[in-house]
Amino acid sequence: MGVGLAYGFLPRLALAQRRTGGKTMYDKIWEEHEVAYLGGITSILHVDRLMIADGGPSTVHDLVASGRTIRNPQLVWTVEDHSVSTSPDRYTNRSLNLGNSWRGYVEHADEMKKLGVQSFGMDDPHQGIQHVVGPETGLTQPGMLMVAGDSHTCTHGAMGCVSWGGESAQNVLITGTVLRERALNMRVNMTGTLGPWVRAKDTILHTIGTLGADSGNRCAVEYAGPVVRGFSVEERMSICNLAIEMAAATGMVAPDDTTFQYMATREFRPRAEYWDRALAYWRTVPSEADAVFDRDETIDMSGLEPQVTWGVSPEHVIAVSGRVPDPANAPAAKREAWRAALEYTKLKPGDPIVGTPIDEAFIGSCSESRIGDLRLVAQVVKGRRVAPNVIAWVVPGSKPVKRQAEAEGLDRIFKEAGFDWREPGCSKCYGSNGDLVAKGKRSASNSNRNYIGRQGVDAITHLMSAPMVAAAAITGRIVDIRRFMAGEQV
Amino acid sequence: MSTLQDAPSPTGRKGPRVLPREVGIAAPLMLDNVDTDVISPLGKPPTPGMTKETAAFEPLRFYSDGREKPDFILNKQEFRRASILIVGKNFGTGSSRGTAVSRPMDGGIRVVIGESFGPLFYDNSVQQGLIAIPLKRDVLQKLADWALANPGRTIAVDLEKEVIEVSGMGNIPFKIEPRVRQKFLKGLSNLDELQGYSKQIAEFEDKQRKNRPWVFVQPPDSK
Repeated sequence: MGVGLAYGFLPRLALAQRRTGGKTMYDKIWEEHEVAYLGGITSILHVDRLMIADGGPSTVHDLVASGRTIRNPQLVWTVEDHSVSTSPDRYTNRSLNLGNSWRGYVEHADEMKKLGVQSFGMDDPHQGIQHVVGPETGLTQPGMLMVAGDSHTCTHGAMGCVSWGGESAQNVLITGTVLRERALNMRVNMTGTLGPWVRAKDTILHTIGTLGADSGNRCAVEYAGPVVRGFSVEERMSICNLAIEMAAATGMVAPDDTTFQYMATREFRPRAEYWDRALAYWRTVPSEADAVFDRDETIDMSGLEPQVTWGVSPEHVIAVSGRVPDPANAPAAKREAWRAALEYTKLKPGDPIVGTPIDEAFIGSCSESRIGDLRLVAQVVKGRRVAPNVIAWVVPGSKPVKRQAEAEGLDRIFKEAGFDWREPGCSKCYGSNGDLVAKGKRSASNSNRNYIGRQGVDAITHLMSAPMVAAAAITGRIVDIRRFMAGEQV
Repeated sequence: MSTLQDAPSPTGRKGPRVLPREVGIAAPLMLDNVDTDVISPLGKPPTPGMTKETAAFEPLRFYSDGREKPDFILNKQEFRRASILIVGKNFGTGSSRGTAVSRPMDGGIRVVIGESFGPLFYDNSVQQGLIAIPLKRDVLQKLADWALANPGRTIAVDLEKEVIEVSGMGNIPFKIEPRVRQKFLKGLSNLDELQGYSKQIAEFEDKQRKNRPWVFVQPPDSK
C-alpha cells in the first residue's frame, strides 16, 4: 500500500502504472490544467478560481498599487468570513469585527468592481462562509481547479472539481497559476443504506475513524459509491469538507445529474450561450470505469450509527452507543495519544459517551450550515427548549441560507427554543472574534476540528452531526438523536 | 484560517535560501497527528512569559500560568538548542496557517524529519524554507531512539547528498522532491519559478479560453 510513504518515488511509479488504466477524475482535471511539467511530481497548473477570504480586496488593491497587474481578475473572488463577528450587532458596532477587514471591502468596492473581482463583504447579500458561498453562487463549478487560503477549500470538491487551500494567493494573482505536487489517487466507496438520522457527517467521521486522520496523506480522495450518489450536493460538501481531516490533498465527488441540476439554478452558472458546452464537458469529468486508484477502500455504511468524537483528533470517534475507549486497548503507536486525549477531554475509559453533559452547543461552520442542515435542526428543536445553562447557537453558513431559513420560519423555531440566531461567519468553529467556547467548557459542535484549544482555551469539543448537536442542546447532554426523535427516554 | 498576512511580499522578495548542510541537535517529538492548532494556537492570548523563540508548541510547552512543562522535549536542557525535529505521522495536520512553520523556525528549527506531514504544513514548509524530510517509520524510530540516547550530540542533514549522517548509525538516505531541493539550494521563490513560464502560461490561457470559455466569463447573464 505505502500511501503514507508516498513522497518522491512512489507517485512517479504510480503515474507510470496508471497510464495503462483509465483515468481518474483527479488526473483528468490535473492534466486539463497543466501548463508545464517541472519534473518529479511537480507541475504548474492554471487556476480557474482564486478565492481570497477576509483581506481579499486589500490584497488585490495592494498588489495593483505596487504596480503589478492582476492576471485574471475575473477569476478572483473574495468574501469575508473568518474575520467578521456573527453577532447581530456587527453592522452597527463594527469594532466587533476582528481586524476590521470589512473596511477593505467598503474602501475598495469600486476598484474591485472595475477590475471585475467579485467581492462579498459583510454588507453584501452573498456574504457567508467561503465554502458555503462558492458552490451556492455557482462560482465553483465542476471540472474546475480552484485554490484558496483556507484548509477546508477541499469542500468545493463536492461539485466535481479539484480544490485545495494554501498560501498561494499572491502568486495566483500575478501569474494565474500555481505550483503543485501531484497527489496519488484514492477512492473511498461508501456502500449500504443509511438509517434514519444518520447523515453525511456521520459517514465521513466514521471513515476517518476507520482509516485514520493521516489516511489520505498525499492522496486526492474521491468519495464514491451508492451512499455518496444518493447524497444531495450539500451532503457531499459535508463529506469533502472533512477530506483535509484525513490529511488528503483534496476531496472530490464525481459530478452527476444531482450536481448539474444544482448548477442550473446558480447565479454565476455558465452563461446561457455556453451552458450546453459546459454541461457536455462536465459529463466527461468523472473517473473512467476502469480507472486505477492507488488506494481503494470500501466502507459499508449499513447499520452506521450517529458518530461522536471523544478525543482531540477527528479520528477519535465512536458510535453514539459506544463507550469511551481505554488507551490500554489502543494500538501501541496510539496509546500515548489516546491517554493524552482523554486527559484533555476529561472522559473515563469505559463510560458510555451518551449522557456526557455539555455546556455549549454550536451549529454552523463550512461543514454543515446549509439550508438542508438547518431544516433538520429545526425539526429536532421545534416546540422544545434548550436545557438550562446550555449556550446554544445556530450560525447560518451564508446570507442566502439565512434569508431562506427566515422565509421558512426556521429562525423563529430556533429562537423560541432558546438558540441564538446569528449572522453568517466562521464563528466558534475555530474560536475567533470573541465567538469562543468559554474556558474549559464542553461543546457539542457540528464543525470539523476537535483539536486542543480549537474552540477556545481548554475547550473540549465533541464533533457530531447538526441534528445530534441540536438534541444535545435540548437535553444538555450527548444523546442518540434516533432515540430522542422516537420520544424515548434518553 | 487564510493567512494572507503571512504571505510573502508580492514584490522583489526572493525565496528562502537553505544551507545545503544542517548540523544540529535532533529532538524527538514522536507523536502522531500533531496539529497546527497545537503548533501555533490562534484566538487566545499568549501564555505569560512566552517569547518569539518559545511560541511554537505552546500547549505542549507551557502550563497556562506560564510554567514550563518539564517533560516536553524542547524544555529539556540538552534539547533546547535543537535545530532538527524528529516527528511522527501526519505532523502539522490541520489548517493553512503559515505560523505553524514560522514559529518552529523562529525557535531555531531548520529541519523536520517525520513519517508524513499535513498537506498544508508541507506546502508552507516549502514556501518558507523549512526542510521537511519523510522517512519510513522503522528508520525514523531508530533515529529518534538514537537522539534520546545521545542527548546533546549533533547529526548532519545534507541536502545536496540527500543523506542524514548519524554517528554510529551511518548515513540514512532520504529523498525530497527534486524541485524543492533545487529551490532551496538556489533560493528561488515560487513566484520566481512561475514567472519563468510566462510564455507557456499565455499560450495555455489562449487555449483554455477557447476550450472552456464559460470559466472565464463573468458576470452572469441572469438573476
